[in-house]
Amino acid sequence: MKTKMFVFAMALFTVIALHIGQSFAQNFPTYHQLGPAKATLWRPASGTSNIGIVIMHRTSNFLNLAACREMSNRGFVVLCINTRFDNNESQVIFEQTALDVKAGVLFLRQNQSGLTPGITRVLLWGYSGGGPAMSFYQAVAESGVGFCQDPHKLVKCDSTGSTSLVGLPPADGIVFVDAHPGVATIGTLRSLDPSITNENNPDKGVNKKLDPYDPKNGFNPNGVSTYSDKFKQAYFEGQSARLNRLIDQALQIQEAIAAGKYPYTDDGPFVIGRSTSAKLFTLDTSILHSTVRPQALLKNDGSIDNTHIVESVRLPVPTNAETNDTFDDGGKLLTVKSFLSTNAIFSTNSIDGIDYCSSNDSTPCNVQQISVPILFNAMGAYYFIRDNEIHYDLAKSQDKEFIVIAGLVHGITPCNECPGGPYNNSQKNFYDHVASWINKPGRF
Amino acid sequence: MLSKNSQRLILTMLIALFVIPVWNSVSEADCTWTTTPLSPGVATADGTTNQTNLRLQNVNSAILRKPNTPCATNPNAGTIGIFIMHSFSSYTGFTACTELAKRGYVTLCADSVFTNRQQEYKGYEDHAQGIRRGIDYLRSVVGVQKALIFGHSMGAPMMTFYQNVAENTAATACQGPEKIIACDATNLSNLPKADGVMLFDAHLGDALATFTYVDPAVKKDTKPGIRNAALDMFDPSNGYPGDTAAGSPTFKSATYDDKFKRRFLDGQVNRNADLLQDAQNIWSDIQAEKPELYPDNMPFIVPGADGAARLWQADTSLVNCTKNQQIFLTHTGTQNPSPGPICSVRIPSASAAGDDSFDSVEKVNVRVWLGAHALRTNGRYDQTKDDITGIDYDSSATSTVSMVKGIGKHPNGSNVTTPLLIVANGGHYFLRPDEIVYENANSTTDKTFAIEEGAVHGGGPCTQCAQALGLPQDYFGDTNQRTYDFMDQWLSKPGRFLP
Repeated sequence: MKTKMFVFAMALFTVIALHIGQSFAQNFPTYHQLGPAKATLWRPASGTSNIGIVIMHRTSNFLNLAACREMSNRGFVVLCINTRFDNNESQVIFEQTALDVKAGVLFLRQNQSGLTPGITRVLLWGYSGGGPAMSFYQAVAESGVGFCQDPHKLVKCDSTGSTSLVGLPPADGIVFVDAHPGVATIGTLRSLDPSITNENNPDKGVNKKLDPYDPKNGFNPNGVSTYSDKFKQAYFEGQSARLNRLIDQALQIQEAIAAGKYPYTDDGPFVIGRSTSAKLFTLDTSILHSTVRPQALLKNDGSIDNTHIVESVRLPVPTNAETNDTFDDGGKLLTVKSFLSTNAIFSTNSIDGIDYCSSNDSTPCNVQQISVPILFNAMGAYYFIRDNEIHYDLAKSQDKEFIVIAGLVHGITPCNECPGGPYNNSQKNFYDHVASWINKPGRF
Repeated sequence: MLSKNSQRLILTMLIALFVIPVWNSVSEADCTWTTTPLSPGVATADGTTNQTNLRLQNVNSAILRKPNTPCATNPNAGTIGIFIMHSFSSYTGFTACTELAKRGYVTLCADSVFTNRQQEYKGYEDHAQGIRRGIDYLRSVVGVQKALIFGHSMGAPMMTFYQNVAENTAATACQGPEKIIACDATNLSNLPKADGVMLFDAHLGDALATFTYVDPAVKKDTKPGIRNAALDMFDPSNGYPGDTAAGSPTFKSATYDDKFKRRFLDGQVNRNADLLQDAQNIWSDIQAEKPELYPDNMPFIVPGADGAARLWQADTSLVNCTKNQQIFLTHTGTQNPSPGPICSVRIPSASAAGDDSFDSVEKVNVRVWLGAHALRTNGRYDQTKDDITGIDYDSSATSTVSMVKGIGKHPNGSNVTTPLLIVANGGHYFLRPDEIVYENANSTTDKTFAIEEGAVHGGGPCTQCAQALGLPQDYFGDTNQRTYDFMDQWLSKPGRFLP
């Protein structure tokens, strides 16, 4: 009896001690300055990891992105970076974002903080606009600056001075999370209102035949819009034509600067009205709606279905009509440099006629240089499913996977209003799936 | 029954269960802290979204630093929380965040929603919700009893604006007829007052900054390269030494004669007045719904107006000294007061190349110009060795000098007033400006002004200043330590925030 009580007491002690140990092992990050960038370092609550993940976006605040905590909770060291262009699109010289990725990769590899010994593999996490940024870094790291100095690029990267991209250390793998094809493609080209003909006064000379918010053209202010094939083709070609005109204008200013025939010696203002709120596929959800082949769908119950074409369950956003006319939300106030570097790409059709390699800010061009293992994740309640299928098809890597996560919106949260739900488990499924992909024996 | 030995063992283990964690905490080095990043929204895989303890809305990002244990040397410091934010620069890693945490205080350092977007806010009303959230958050942190706001550089006018509105309402603080444009009071109701205000090398405000940067040599806004030589502060014939040595200890001060100075300052007044008139005309046209304009706003691009042509930055004989004796934190100890007025040891900081660059352009919209960059004069505008005169500070709600007047007018919580601390850096150019702020803080009955010897704007020692004076580089010593020790003493003075 005494022995039994003693054993019971010991067991109780052990259970309570373990519980207290767990609650005290909560993982708080540390804060680090990485030159002009800044970062939070998240370590697993217990144990050590030989795999580090660098998470970064061109401009967004990722210091406390859910993935930082979620992936460290799954046993990885995670470094979440805000770049030198944190919170400001108009300042972005896209090529320079690679310098902040480099700082992050070296920070982990070299254990610069003294907090992460033993890291042997560093992966990149390209979420949303982090997709083009991380793919650009890895492409240059694997192929050298010749890739980003190709004469065909609108902007060439630097190979001398403090912004040189020579000698970037390649990462060991990439996880793309609802990566978009590039700001130039999604943020500018596909967002431009093609009905604008006068850049100085968007109200004058509007081509009504290309007005996305005219009900005569198919706009429905209360739900899904339906545009004719003829309208769509003219619209997408019109978006390309407008961006090509803007590029010509910017290149002329750049030439004038170089020739000393411009008021400033370095850069100039570049204002684009009605350039953020005319994505036709946010109004007509039949556009960019699905994959073209059967692809993997991670369902809410945790199973994976490979047998069907995957369709987006996203809802339309007709309220964009209200912002299109405004200066504050409907326009972009850029500079010539930031426009050409980050927002410009040549095309003949904004959906399927894009000259991907004319810009460095272009995931579909960059992935063609990448040979390390890649996981492409697209969110099932958003509009990057087809783009990520293209990225997957173009990726050079022999170890690549593409999966769509059912019912999650771009913010990696469930779409409660979308059809086909519920999607309440999809978020956890997603992080678990990524962890499982990384941990697959032999991969890293 | 268990044997006595077994009972003792179990008792010991049970005690250990509760003692070990406490012992672990105490065993950690004093004044270490836990870092917690906060975001406007947080989503986690367990379905919990927007956990309130990790959420700070109306900012871009934030870092909470909370002492792990009470500081042995400063055990009550953890009852004071300090919210630190700048109007447009990233401050999550600012020196004060760690230096004050190191001394036992809870710091919450945020990047405002306008971080790296200096040219997008129309006034500090656009920051008020972020500051409010910061104060509320600090007051929710276990153990924190007092929440202060801390503004460095252009964070200072923003914090004084906030506190003035919180204490006196928007109608009184920023909507009077003296203002060029009334502040937008949409989000300014019932703001919680901070318990104290700390200003560190305070700027006089966005509008004053622009006013004193506007380059009168620019003849035409569309052709900024064509300059009026008679008004060009970067023309060597007017006294500018050229950029060659810029940024080094050998960079010499410009030597402008009185005639040029007068011409330049008059030119600056005139161009500012013209710009104000242009902006007001466009704004009136927008209000009149003229169809050729956007219905909400219009671009307002002003060359030579940001970091462009500030006379005192080139000529270190201007706006360089205090008028009076002040508390002086020197490398040999604190002088209270200094034997005489205190002068900056700064080196010049102007740049002709910068003025020529596109970076010098204010790329704003007309509403932003009126709210955040326009200022009137009210007499003869002048810059002398120890003064700036002729500025109508009250014409802009971004003016530190104007906003500080309302701080501490009424009782604040259990305190009879709002304590105010101002520390200026002796290797920079805000000594007299901050003295003006101090002099205008005429409502608070608890105000302190001190100057840190030989510190640059960020707070570190000015090694170049020392070299320029023929002194050893480390002559000024550890300026950060002296500054934050002084702030610590001010914060922990019994009866101010602590019992």
